[in-house]
Amino acid sequence: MVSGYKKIRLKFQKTGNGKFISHLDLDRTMKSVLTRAKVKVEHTHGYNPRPYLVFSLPTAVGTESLCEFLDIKVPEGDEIADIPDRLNKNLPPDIRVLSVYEPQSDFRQISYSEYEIMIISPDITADFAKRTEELFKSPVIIEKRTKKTESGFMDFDVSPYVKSISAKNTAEHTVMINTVVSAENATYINPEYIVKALCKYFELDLNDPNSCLYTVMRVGVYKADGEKFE
Amino acid sequence: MFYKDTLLKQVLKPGRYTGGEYGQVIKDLKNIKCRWAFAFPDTYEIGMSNLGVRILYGVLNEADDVYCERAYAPWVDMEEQLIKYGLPLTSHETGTPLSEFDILGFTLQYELCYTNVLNMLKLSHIPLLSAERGENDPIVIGGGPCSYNPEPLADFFDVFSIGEGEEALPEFSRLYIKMKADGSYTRKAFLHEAAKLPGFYVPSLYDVSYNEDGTVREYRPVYDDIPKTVTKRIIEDFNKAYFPDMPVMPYIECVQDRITLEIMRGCIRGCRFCQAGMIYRPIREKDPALLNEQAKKTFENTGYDEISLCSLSTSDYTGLRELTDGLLSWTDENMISLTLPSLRADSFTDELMKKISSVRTSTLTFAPEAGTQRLRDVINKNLTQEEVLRACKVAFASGKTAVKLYFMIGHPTETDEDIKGIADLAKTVINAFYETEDRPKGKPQVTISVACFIPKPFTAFQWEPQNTLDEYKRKQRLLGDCCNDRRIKYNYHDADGSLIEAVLARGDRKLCKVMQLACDRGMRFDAWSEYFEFDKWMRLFADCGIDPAFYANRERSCDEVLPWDVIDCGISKKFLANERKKAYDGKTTQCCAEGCAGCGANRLGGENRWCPVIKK
Repeated sequence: MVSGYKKIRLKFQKTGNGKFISHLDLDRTMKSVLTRAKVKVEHTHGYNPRPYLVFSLPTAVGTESLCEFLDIKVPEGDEIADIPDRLNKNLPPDIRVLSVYEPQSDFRQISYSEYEIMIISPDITADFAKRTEELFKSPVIIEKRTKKTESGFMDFDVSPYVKSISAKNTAEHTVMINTVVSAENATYINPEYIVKALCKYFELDLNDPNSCLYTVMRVGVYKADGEKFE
Repeated sequence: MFYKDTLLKQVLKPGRYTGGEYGQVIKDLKNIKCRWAFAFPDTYEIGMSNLGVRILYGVLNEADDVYCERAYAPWVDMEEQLIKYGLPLTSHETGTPLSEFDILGFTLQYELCYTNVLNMLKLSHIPLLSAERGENDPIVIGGGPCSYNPEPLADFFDVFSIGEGEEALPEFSRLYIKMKADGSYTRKAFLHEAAKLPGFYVPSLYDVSYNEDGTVREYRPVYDDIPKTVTKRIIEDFNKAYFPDMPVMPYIECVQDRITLEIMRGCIRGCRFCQAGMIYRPIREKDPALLNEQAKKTFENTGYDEISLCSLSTSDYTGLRELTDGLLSWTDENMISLTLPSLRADSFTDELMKKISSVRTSTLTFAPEAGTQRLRDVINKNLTQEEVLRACKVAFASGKTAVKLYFMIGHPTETDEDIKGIADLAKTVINAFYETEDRPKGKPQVTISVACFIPKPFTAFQWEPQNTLDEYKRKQRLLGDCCNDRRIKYNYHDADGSLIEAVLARGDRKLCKVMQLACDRGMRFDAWSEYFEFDKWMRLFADCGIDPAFYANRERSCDEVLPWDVIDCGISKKFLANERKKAYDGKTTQCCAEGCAGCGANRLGGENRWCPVIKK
């Protein structure tokens, strides 16, 4: 019998096709990966026993991430240093475990997320970066899905949730945006809202797969005081 | 520039299209001499659940110079995007357009997926008609249960693989590679050679003539050196059959997301309505110790928490106790649950109940198929009411309050008494709940699922007329009126779809023009109630001058040439005709475990065959 379990944190990235895995599917994937890698984890004790997995701040489908966190509970005395290796051997190539440690912080401390957004489109002009930075200095209203109105949509001002935004035209028709936005429970915003706002205000059409592409990648998460969350 | 990402951001469940799953096969194209795309004509979630696809994907990829990739029907939102931007359907592994493959295989699991097959060809920009394909188009091959009567699709397929594909498809690849290498390959020459391989039916090499009344007069091979009838292939020693112990692990949730352990092929029972029970004969069992090993290896490779024992009638497997004991020796500690679908009520025991509920349990389902003993004898179900009640009591005693019962309406000789018998049986099961001493607290729930009978080729009822739509709807209402107890939940299948299935199941080549027009009119996903439109089908038939009743509701005589007579599934027509006669006499036939009924399947060989007369 195991005397007790300790909480450990896995930091992992999901890139490429991995960005299309929804939170629920990631949960199932991780569950089978832990089993394949023979990492013993505590299970729930109910009618349908499931491994105890807690993810931090799941990214929206379509968003890549270099900093995802998963807390699991493993038997007290178990060696954990080799867990990333063992998991990576059993993960699809687009998900990689970067490190494992006993956490000193709580997921509730996460306040901000930092994203890098790249947009390629014939509509991206040379002054696009500058215009982007200017835009978020005043209210930026987009339509947001909601259950509160009859139409299913409501107007939503993105600007107050954007802590900082900088942009650069990196090539012809290409812009790179770096932004830090709110990630607290009550004020979380999806980084897609930024893209949506740009499409609306600058008449950008990103739907044609023959000429357009945009990617969104979470590169860091921070506590309220600006310290990096680990 | 083509950005898959951009497309995927605009559709539901992009995980259906990404590929890149754990376990997918990646090969260096430099070494490949034959590229297969194996297509499942329905959504990814359904296709990924199919054991046959897992097996054939694995078995084809065993060869170093063959590369098999996967493809699925795009959902309507993705289809819209592909059409809008003029993009072709592509494979999962490498994103190659399906038109660039050497061989494009479709598995045909149910008739209502036929429109998806044609739609996938259209979305791949491959000519629909076999006759219109050029030297650079893929060879389009079909297989699976519907290929036992492939005639409604005959014009669209270059070739069909009849029977089990584990050995046949690699032989087909070898022939392709050989003819490409020695320069003898042309489409025409290749298909001629393929038709000489055992188990391959090339429809264009068989001329069909019809009688004035629209029935088939004759199938005549175009060449002298190809067989008059195509005999199905089987794996003789099931213990040596390829087993997919490293299936591709889908990211998104699939219909069957678990380890599927195929314990035997074929069924000893011989229910007279059941096509699977005939076409998968002879019976071949796999050794329990080997299955245990394969299960363990698959668990280690996948991390699944559920093992499902798969066969047509699991409790008839002679090694069931040894197998379940073996599995339970390691599954419990790994939090793996066992599920046993296809359990017969007459062999469901307390011991089995405990075995399947040691980790987590699911609903129990039994299939009496008919409401009265008379009709159960007609269909040769060989199951008594007492046996059903006993099985339900076992379930109740173990803490279940709900059971599910499957029935079919529209069996030959059925009367209204038989319909009422379904509701009566359900009520008796409810009473059985209260008669069970150690029953759980609460109210019982009996769900009855009632399907419409569809006469299928290679069954004793292959000559039978299907009930008309009006008759089905009347019977469904009658049964609904009889289910006046709130503890009975009554589900029934849509009769409209059953009529279309019946037409296609026993159709001939004259239906090809219907299928083509269906494709021209953009029909697809007919197995999905949200896209199935009965009126569209009726218009199709009318516009093509086809009377659906000719195929669905006409009684055939036993000496009529049937469109599927060109296929030999091992079961003799004489046996089936005799079974039909016995059905009308209300006589049952013993199952293979009790003695050989002489169906004929044993002549196909098979080391582990059951039939005692031939087994000796």
